[in-house]
Amino acid sequence: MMDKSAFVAQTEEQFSRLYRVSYAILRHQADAQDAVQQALMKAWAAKDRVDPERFRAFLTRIVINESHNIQRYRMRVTPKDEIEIAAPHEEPMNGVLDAVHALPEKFRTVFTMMYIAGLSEKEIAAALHLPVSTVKNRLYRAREMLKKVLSDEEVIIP
Amino acid sequence: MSKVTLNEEYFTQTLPAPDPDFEQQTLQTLRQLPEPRPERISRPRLVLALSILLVLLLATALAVGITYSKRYQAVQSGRDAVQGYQGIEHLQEYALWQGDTLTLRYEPVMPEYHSLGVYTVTVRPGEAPEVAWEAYDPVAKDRAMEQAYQAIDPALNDFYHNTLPAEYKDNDLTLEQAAQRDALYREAGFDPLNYAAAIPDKQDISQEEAWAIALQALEAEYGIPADALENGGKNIYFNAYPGGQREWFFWVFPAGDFQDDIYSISLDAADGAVLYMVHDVPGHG
Repeated sequence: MMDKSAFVAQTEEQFSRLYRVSYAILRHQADAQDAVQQALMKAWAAKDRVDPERFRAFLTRIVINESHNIQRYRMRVTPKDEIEIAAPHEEPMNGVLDAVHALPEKFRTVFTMMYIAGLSEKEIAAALHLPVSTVKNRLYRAREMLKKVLSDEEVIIP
Repeated sequence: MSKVTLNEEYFTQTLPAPDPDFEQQTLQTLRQLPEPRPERISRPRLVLALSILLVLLLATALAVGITYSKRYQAVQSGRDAVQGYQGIEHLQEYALWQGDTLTLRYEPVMPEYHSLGVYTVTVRPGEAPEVAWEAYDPVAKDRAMEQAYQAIDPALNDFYHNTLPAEYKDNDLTLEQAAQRDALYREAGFDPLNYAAAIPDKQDISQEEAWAIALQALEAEYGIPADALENGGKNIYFNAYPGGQREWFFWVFPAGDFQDDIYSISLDAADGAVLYMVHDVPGHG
């Protein structure tokens, strides 16, 4: 059971990180703000059913889900002749973020949770209800795909 | 060129921080929310809570002069249209902009709203809002999501540890394996829009036909030679969505001069018509 003050305190502590996670997926300020707000509403409704020790991972998962929902819908409703605005980016981004953004969703999710949100493999597995081995495999594949599109001279992916 | 290490510190420095006003408004709104009831929330109370939050967010946004005034009017007209269409009140809302066109999407947020489905409102400048409705099963959402994950855990563990070969690669699942996995999710109540992997049947164009069309479409749209596409990498998906839409979907990683680019293309499995294409390339805004 988590009371309001604890919920707000944890949310405040995680706010910047949650926003960056969403922005990394959506790359659009207003969309990222929408995703964070919607995720917090859902987290608020579910706060009494969440283990406080898993709250950080829980919040991250909801923010990522909301961001993907917005992104998926944005792509789905875009007819072919509007492709140019299918993925509205507010500002030019660097190659790393573009490459992360282009990963298939399931790989982008685990990569984002580890490398942007800073969660451990175990936390990611718990949040996504996946075996740790699956998380490891997805991280491996994500790194492989990123290495394919990013020059080894530019980045190190630990 | 110096090397950078991809880690949380790198992304913290690279990605923008949230707007301070937005952060403070959101936190303030949370502080003002009433405690949710521990038991089942009645619809009137939920709607009231959502409405209060919505009003607070809009009021605070307007109070600090955020430049959403035109958008606000469009959003408001869309909301009015939905209420007029079915007499419903605000539920979960997505507001998406494409140029001057606004798309609002309302989906149920609680299991008891199953029958409402999803309402989509399109608001174009100078035109009356268009409202559409589609059936939708949100059982994997919110409260039910926890139960759904618990329900599927044993089946997923069995799938990953017993059904698949020991040395499988998650990205290398066959169409049959992906369909089997997503069927487990759907049977557990997860959103069929998100877990749509299926097996093509005789009425669908073949994978070879779909890929041939994809090659032509990507070459025509983006000028990528077929050999660059053939010699690169690709991920193949076949999806069957609620309502009957079936698609071939390819992630494409071209070779050669185009190796920095990534493309995706969706084809209607019935006739190979291009549903959409997306081009991601480093440096493009």
